[in-house]
Amino acid sequence: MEGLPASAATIVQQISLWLNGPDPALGDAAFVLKLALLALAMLAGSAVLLLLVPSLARTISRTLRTLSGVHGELFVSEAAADDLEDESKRLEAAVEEAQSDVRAACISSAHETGDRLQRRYNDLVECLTRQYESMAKRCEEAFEKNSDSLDDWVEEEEDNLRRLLIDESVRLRIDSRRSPIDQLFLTAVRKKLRPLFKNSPVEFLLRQDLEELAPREEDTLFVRFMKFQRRADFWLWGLFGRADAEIRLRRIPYKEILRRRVGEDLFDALINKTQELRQLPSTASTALQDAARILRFNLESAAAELEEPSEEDANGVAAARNLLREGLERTEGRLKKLLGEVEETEARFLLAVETEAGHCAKRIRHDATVADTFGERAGRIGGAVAASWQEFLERARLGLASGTAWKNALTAPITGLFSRITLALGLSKLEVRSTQSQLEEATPEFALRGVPPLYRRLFQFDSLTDEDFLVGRETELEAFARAKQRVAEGLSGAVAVTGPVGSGKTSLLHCAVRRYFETEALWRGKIEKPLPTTTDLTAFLAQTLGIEANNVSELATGIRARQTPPVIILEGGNLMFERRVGGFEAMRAFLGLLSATEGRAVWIISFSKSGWRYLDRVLGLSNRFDEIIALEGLDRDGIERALVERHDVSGYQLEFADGPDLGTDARWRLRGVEDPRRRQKILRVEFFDELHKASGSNLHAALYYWLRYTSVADRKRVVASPVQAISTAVLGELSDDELFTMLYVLQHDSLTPRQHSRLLRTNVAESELTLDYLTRRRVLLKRRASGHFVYFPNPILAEPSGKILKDRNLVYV
Amino acid sequence: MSEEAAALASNLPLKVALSAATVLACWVTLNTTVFFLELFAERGARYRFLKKGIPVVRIAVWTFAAYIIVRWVFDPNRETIFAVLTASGVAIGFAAQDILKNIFGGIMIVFDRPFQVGDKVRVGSYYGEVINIGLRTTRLVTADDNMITVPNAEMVNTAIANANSGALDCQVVTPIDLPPGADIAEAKRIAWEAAATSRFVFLKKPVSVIVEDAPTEHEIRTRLKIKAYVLDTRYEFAFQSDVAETVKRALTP
Repeated sequence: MEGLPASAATIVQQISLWLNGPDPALGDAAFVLKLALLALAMLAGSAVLLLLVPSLARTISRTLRTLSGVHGELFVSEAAADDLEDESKRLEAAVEEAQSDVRAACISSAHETGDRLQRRYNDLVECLTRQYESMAKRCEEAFEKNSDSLDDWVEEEEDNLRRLLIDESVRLRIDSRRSPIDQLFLTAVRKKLRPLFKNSPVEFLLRQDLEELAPREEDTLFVRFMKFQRRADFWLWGLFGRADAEIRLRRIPYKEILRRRVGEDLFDALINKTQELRQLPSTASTALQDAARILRFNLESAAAELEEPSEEDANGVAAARNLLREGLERTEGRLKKLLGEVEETEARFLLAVETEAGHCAKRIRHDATVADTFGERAGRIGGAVAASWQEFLERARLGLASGTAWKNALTAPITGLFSRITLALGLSKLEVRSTQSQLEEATPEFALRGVPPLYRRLFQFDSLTDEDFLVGRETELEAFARAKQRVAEGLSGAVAVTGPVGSGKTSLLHCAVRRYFETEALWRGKIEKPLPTTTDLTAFLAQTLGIEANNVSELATGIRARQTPPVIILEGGNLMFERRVGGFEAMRAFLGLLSATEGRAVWIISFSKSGWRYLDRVLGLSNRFDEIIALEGLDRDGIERALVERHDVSGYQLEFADGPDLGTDARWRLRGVEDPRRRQKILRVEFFDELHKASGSNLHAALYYWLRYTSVADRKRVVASPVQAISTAVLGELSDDELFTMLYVLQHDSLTPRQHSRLLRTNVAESELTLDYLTRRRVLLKRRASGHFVYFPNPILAEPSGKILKDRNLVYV
Repeated sequence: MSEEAAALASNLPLKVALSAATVLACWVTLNTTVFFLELFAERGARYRFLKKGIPVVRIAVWTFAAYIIVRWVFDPNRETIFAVLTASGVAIGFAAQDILKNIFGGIMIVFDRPFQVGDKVRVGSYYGEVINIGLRTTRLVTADDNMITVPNAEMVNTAIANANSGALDCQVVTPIDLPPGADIAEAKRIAWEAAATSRFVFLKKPVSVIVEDAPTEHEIRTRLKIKAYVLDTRYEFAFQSDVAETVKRALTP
């Protein structure tokens, strides 16, 4: 108590008195209650003070930064300083000249560049638009006549126009490489500023007297600081005999200022600002290619409608006509958008150059001023420091006086903890809302209901055949090339492709075939039904490979007899085993076949992730394959690219709608976002974050959520609304038998009731009941094949199902 | 002395009430915490480890309650503390030493951790899952759903076999007696596959089959011992039964 200041000691005494004060009603318990109350108040106070810590740190850092700028002053003698009286006027004139030169050079060069841009792109778009209009006219006439083989005619027209677009896109890239517009601009600016550099003096020398601090007497803190510094400097330089009067010599390195501010800063900034300009030809070229792809998909859809009208729209000609007209409109729209983008880029560029020129001029002035007027500089530094601390004190005062800050400091941790507990226990609002009906909608068919034909074609759940849409699988594709190379060198080349359901195994195989094996001797088969015995396996492989064989060794002989090593792709490797005694016979025989044909064939087999993991543990499968491609889900950016690339081909513009809880403009203002384009960017990020979280990185699930939460608003726009994940809390209630059934289905890719009853030793009726129950819960889906139902995992719920199995330790890494 | 006694007497009802309130608050807190811990732990096998914290929480809460009552509510002077301790020592020495032994046994179990809640242990002739470690007793549930209550003092002084030592998996040994003349190699393969394909098997640890002689009164039979790990100790007997059933089915012509 003795060491404390009087005021603090008084406060402590008061608190102590209050704590120990008698309370007839509560007796000794009053002390405990008061102590608890005091602790609570101290806790809230600490929280509020903690909020002030960043602000305090910022203020201290700003002060130190400002003060560190005061250094490098020199003193000269009275006699030496006499010649320096007129230097300040000459410096002023030079600075003004430099400022106007920089502004003029930048702005005139930017306008020339802008004009050149406009001419280039206007000509291009006008030419293409004329072509479109003429094509649209020809199309209308052709449809009027309703002549035969319209589909061929549409495809021919589309082909011509697409070629024109692609030619223009290539020409644009070549042109931009030959005469890059950003380089032309920078060269022009350099040329105009050359005389400025050439004619400028190297430095100015100014004098600075102690008396100049007199008018700044009101800035007590700084005047004191500067006087102290001057005294220290003068003492130091006096020791060396370099100063006999308190006159400071100000050395203004003018050419250095110009070199730094114009030669480096300005040109660095301009290079940055011209980055968009440099990318413009590539953007435009991509836009033209996009337009070509939009045209291709739209007109191919129109031609497909003419050839085979869909069930929904029996009048093929009318539907095709609509599709064609809309397709042309969208393509034309894409071109107009390109022109708009060019104009926007140009405007942004002009503004940026003008701003940079202004900044540069200001910086030249600033450097000269800082070097010139010591007193003003001192005042400014003092003012800045004082303002920083004033701002901090004001903020602290407001923070401590604000009831809301105290309330938040107390309630925020409690509410945060509460919401975490409820979420973890599955009691949050989202979980409570969980209903069976939400799960019932989790099927690909439901998602595709009511989706326009064009969109349905793009976002189909089937495997991809177009490599354009395969995202983030480059490393995996290289494994096929390595296997091919190994076999060419006479080594073994067996590739296992594994991944959870819906991860894109089949798509990867399609793309690998197109990229590496199109010219090879290719045998490809999909195992549709279980092959648990060697006889089943031999029969299947003999049929697929077209080899007459009664056993595995004959098959091996047949494969080895080939001149060139064939490529054998088998999908559904899981079906080569059953999880029961005697169920590994076929898999063991197949592994024997792999060894027997080592170096004579490229084997590519796909397995589901669970099946692979099980077989690897039981039979050591990973030792038998040279390349194991373990497909995992796509990351957030991968999911976004995969969806947006498909969407872009449709030609629709993509917009993001507000969520129901953030619909009003006021909310946006509260977040400090007023620009609609910035709002769209934020909504886009939020949309894909939510979608990635809900889909658990699974592309099938991501496609489902995309289709559920986007809608075609009109002929040009698709609107994406905020994603709400399907609640799967109800799956946590599944019994052990149902969970084991899920595990078995995942390991075998699919199960029939008969198989299920055999593997889990139940009767068929029970198996049907269990499988049907899981189908109602949408964990499984079923299809009819060869007169009986086959149950397979629902890719949309693959991630939550996997998580439940992990939680129960049925799946472990 | 008389003033102090008077003051104590005047406040005594309130102090008793406060002590009761403290005990009640601690009891509510403890039960709520235990309830939530058990709820979490039962959400999945992976979360079951949370149950291990329950005995520690229990001891911590009651110790805290005792401290609050002695230090803040009654706040006795040194003489009183000595008097109470002496009286307690005499009382404990004559009457409550068994209770105290059990309480210290419980504390030792919590800190020494020879087993934890959820472990499968054998104590004497009883084998079952530990479901509760209390201050006085430890409770097990056997395979036939009987609850066995063992005083902690006995738990500390007896040899205890722990099948899983805190892990979720444990080894299960399934003995199978082969019929006379059975093909041993084929039987071994079947036994291995029966364990490896069982739905309950934990394949991160190895499956092995051991052949040994099993002498009876009339002949020496061949016995297979299938050693495999179960993915959750709760499936131990189901796993044993599943493997035995599968092998017998496969061996029966």
